[in-house]
Amino acid sequence: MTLLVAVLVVLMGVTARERERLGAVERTVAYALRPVEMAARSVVGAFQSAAFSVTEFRQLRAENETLKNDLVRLQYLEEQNRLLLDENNRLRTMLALRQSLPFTTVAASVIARSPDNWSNYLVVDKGAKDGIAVDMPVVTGVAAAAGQQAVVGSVVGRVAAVTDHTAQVRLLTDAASGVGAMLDGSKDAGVILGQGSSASGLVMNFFSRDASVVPGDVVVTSGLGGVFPAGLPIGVVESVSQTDFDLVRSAVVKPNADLNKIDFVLIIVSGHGGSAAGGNTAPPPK
Amino acid sequence: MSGMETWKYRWPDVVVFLACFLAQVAFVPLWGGVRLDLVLAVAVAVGMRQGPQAGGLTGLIGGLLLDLVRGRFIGAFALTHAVVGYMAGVAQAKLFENSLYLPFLFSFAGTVISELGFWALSAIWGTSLPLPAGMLALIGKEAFWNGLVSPFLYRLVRARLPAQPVGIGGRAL
Repeated sequence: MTLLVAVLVVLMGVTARERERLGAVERTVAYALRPVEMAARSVVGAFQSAAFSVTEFRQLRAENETLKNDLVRLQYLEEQNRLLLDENNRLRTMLALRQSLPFTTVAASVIARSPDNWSNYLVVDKGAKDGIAVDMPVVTGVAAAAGQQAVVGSVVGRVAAVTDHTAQVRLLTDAASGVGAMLDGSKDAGVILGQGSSASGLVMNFFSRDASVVPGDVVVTSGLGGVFPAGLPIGVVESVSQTDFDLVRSAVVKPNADLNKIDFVLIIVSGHGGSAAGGNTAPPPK
Repeated sequence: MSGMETWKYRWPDVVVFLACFLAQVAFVPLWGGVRLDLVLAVAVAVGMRQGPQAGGLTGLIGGLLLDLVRGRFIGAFALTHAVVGYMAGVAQAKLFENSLYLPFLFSFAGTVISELGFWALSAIWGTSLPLPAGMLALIGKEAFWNGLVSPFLYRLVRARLPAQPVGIGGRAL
């Protein structure tokens, strides 16, 4: 019994910190569980779809009418946008400016989530063989259609571990998560920290005790830290407080993305501050 | 009792354990909200039915599998679940009572002990997790749901054979 406890203590000590790669045993377990997780998702999804169709029919009909009207309006705006884009491209060519695409993304489906209440992560169905590496930013959004860019939405988290065909995405709400952020208006910067559960939300600790922040302020990534590109939306300030003998100004932030209901994400594989070394990157500083 | 005879008697328990583990990993997270811990609940049930060593072993294996799925801080769930499974067996032996409210009670208390133990281990190894009021409420909800499923698992798990020492293959641990 003593030997067993000693072995467990050593294992905990070795694996408590961030590791560049998962061990062979963990990768084997992840590989073995992948078909079960995907099957479970299909079964649960089918039941959820059936329940949704029964209870939400009336709401869907009203929403359908609204969306039809919106579609007509947006089609007009899209045509206007296309004309403007064509003109922009012509002008850039005339000025010999190189046209840059900000991000290259890989779309991934969520196949599993963390099984306990202390960690908040997703498992997606893309891995090292798809070009995914540790520390790549993960966002919501719409995958790129032919000839178009992907539409990048709000920050979800970052890639924390990778196997050949899956990746573990640490969500913003995870206690080990930290993201450089700033207010979109005043540009006051700070760090967004997860509180370990989606119920507890996010807390943003500002670098300055005199940060100008009020409920309703929009929070975006600051680009500091070298992982997330600047300007990606994170969430909205819900409340503000001053703690620790008035030295730390902090705010509770509600994330834009509903992290409990995400089925699909975009992983930014280039154009961001992280590296793409096939999973052998250094872990982020704590 | 030979190993083969023990296996013939015990294989339903292995099926129950595997079903709980797979459900914990594949199905429980998909529903959102608080996650109950079926692995802990089955360790409590085994501990109550088959004794502290069987409960401890079940918690150890189940917790270790959960640790491997998480991929970090390996050993933490193994230790906490083993302790709770063992304690459930010890507590049951002292009570001499066979009532279905006991699985609820043991599972509720065991969940609180396990989760606070995990938090303490995290603090010791420097990966301290915040414990805000929301997290404490979450532990309470998890304990309640674990308690609710425990009576069913208690019924599913087989009792220890009178002549059989607690262990694997007829050998005591």
